[in-house]
Amino acid sequence: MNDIHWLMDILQDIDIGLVVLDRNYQVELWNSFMDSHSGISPQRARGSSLFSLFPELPEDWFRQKSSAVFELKISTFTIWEQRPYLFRFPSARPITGRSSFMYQNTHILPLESANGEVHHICLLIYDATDSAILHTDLKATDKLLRDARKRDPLTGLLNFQTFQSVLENYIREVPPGSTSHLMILDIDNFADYNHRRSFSAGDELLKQMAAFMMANGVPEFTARVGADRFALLLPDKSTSECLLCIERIQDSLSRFSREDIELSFGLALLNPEITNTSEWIMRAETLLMTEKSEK
Amino acid sequence: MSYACAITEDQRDCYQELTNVAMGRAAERLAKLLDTFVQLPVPRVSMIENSDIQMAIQEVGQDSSVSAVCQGFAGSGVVGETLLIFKDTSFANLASIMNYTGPLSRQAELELLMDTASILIGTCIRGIGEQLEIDFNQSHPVILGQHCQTADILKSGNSTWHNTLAIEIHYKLENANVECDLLLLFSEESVNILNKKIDFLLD
Repeated sequence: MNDIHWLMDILQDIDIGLVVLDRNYQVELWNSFMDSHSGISPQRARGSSLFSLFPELPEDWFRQKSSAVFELKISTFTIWEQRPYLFRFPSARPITGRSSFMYQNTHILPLESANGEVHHICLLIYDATDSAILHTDLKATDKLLRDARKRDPLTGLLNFQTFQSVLENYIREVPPGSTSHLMILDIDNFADYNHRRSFSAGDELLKQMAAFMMANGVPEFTARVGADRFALLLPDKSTSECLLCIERIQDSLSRFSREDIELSFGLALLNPEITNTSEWIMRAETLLMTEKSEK
Repeated sequence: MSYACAITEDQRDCYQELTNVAMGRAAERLAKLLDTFVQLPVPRVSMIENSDIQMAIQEVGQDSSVSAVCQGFAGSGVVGETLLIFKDTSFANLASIMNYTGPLSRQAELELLMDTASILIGTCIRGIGEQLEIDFNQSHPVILGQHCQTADILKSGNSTWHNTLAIEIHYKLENANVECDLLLLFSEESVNILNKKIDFLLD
């Protein structure tokens, strides 16, 4: 006889929501988990329709989930990814839980009567907040790591490999006849600058260079491809617009370092002869080298 | 530690029959709920190696990305997992069968996936449990992936089993271009317990 009492106590106090519903979705059982988190006492819940107790619960949705339980005598489940919660309960850990509400997984199971018919269903509510938050954290970390692999740590610009695949996609998708330029830039006498000022001043110059490039171009098309070498994809810009862009970057750099900084560049227009990324990069680099040798 | 588990021809036939009966019971109720004729497939019973499982699920994912759900079940010492793998091209038709209205967003597809998984897995596990007189408990379903390649569903490495019993049911809905694969996989330890139950039925 004792075990029945124990079992009743356990069901009452277990950290899982227990609700028994009849075919009209009227509450017949409401354990203390439900009482504590909803603030609705068992006396008030019993005999009331679940939908009148929780008007925000989508009735059609819930009826659909339950119909399989009544008709097929099987369990159905919902998970927080599908619907964060059935009942909006505050988080069980309001201070350190990092969520204002309780994520819930639910299990609806059939309760068979002595003759094998299902007149009642039981709704189990599990608190899934911890796993939901962990899952969200994991996804954010994963994105961060994947982003970090794509970028140059000093300047935050795309690295060479990523830039190559950006170019590849661009060549594939750009409509024919658009004027797109690839510009490769190099800071003249950067080694001297490093020696005269210091390596940390050199790093600072590279960072500023990245910032000015992003401000004058498209940040997602801007890359650091070597020590003091940068690349910029300029879609839909005429040659004179591109030259203006270099001028602005050069001016900003000179103003920042309080001395004249010269940039060398190679500017290659995407034309039908260029069929792949390396050809385009090669053309821009050749032009850059020519300019450098003429200085 | 590896469990030597194998099944005889008779046992294989018995597993197949068991699944057939379970599906037969389910199909009628299923058809009523879905209001469409469910083609009853012949279940495939085999012992598979850990390395073969990719191949087993590859079939449904040919030329198409897939979405998948898994769910554990346990009862009387028998432990296993069900995998439901959906061809992504099935969703539009499935939506109309299940009376879903509105745009088919990723969220809506997740709902569809979960509902169908509950029904297909639930009816199958219940049907098999009834015949073996095992009351199976089901754990919560877990999404293995949405719109991914079959190779991404099962992460390789750290699996703890070598060779086990697999029952594969390939569902097709008549005239509806809906295709999915339901795989029942038992733990190695469970196969010996199941075999004893099966032998009892065979006698």
